[in-house]
Amino acid sequence: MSQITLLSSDNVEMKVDKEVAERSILIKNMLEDVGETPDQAIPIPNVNEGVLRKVIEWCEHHRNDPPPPADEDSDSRKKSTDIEEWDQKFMQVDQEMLFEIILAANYLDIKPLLDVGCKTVANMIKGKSPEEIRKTFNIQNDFTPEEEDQIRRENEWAEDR
Amino acid sequence: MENLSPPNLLHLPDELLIQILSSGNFQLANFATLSRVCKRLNALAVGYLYNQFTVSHGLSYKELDGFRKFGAHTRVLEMHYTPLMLTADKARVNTTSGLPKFLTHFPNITKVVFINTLGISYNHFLYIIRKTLTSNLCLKHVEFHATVLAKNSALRGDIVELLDKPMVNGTFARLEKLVIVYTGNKRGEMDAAERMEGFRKAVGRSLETVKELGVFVNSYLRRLPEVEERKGWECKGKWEMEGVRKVEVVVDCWPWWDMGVVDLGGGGVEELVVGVGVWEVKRRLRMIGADGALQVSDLRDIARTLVYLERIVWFCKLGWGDELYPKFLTERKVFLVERVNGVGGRVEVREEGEWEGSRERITNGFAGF
Repeated sequence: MSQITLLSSDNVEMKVDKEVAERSILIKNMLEDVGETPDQAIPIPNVNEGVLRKVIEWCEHHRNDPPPPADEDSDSRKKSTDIEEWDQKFMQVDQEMLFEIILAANYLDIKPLLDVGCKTVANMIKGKSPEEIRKTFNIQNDFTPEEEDQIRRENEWAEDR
Repeated sequence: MENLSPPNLLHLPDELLIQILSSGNFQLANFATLSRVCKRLNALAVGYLYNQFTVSHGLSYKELDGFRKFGAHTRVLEMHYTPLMLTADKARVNTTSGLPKFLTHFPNITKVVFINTLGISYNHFLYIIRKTLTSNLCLKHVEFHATVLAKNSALRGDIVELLDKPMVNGTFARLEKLVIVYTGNKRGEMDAAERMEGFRKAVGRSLETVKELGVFVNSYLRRLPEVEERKGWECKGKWEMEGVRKVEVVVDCWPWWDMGVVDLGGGGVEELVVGVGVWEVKRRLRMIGADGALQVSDLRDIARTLVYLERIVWFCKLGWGDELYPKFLTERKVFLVERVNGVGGRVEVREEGEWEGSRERITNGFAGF
């Protein structure tokens, strides 16, 4: 099994099976462009060591998964908010790490991981009031009371739908 | 200076926030809640709340103006002028003339469905079609459904003038799908071919890019023209359907000579759906005979001109005898016409094989065809 080396943004090298690294479409395309297994470490400038280790952990676990459907809007994948049990546990991290994983999955082009991250955040939003959402994600309310009231009245029709 | 604060929800780019909102299987209520959290989430959430806009109750355009501020978010707009609307607000139902102006508040709509079962004039219908297509340049898919009153059925001078206006590049929507459903409801109206010609002119150059076309014309009289009337039914102008791949045409009183109105020749049509209600009329009037009704041989002739045809679906209102479903040929394929759901149902024309491989069977089994 051939291995490649990834270099995190904080200059930490990590050896990983090529097959695992190729869960990232970005890395897969890079390796295809090079044509052979590179001797030098592949720099991943936007992802630090801690996040890269988490991403590799996810890729290791899902190394044998079938490739995601080519159609990005695959209904069954998008409509379901179900998350596998292992992935749920994997995503039990602090918010900073959660958003770092989402950003890394987006950068590295790992759609199934991005999907799991987005669904995790979406599930954190669902069922909460505006104030609870602000509190959960530490968001500042930048509406005046009048503006908020007007928005509430405008969108009232949708509140029971 | 680089922002070194740890990422949180609002540090994600719009692209990822949209992905979160799209992957959550959110209901409208969730978006309504999100719209009240902060200005950034509000801007994204209203895009989902007002993405599709259906008006089916009696609101006047003045009242609907309240939605104007969300118009940029709307991609799909449906306007239903139906008895439901009549019940809700009888006084305001005749305001369809305001529709094209109202639509200008929705600069990014890609789909419009206009349904009027209350009845509007033929002139008014054509006005709405043309104005909609020249006011909303992003439109890709439009459907116009109307019951048209016989009153004032002749084309008015101002409408003729409007339809004759040249459509220059950049001033009209480049459609991909067009559906026109027309139902006449009174005696003395123009014949179907005249109606079709009016629609063709109203759509004008927006037809150039259409890939999928549906035309359903149902005249009140439901009768075939007399022999001497047929001259007037001949094609008056080409539909310019070079780009059309799928066509659905259902026209009562749709004899083969009327086919010229929707000119399918020379196009790249891959799927053709045809329907005809003539058989029912003929039965009722005891006019059963060869003349007038759409025959399989007519369908075969049509299919012969469509060199890319892959599939035909044939509707009819009553079950036809099995002998009327023989095989027929196109230049490339052999199709088998077969009834799927029995009387009143759908008739499928199933591909039977390639021309060369089936030649013997066809010759032997359907020599008379």
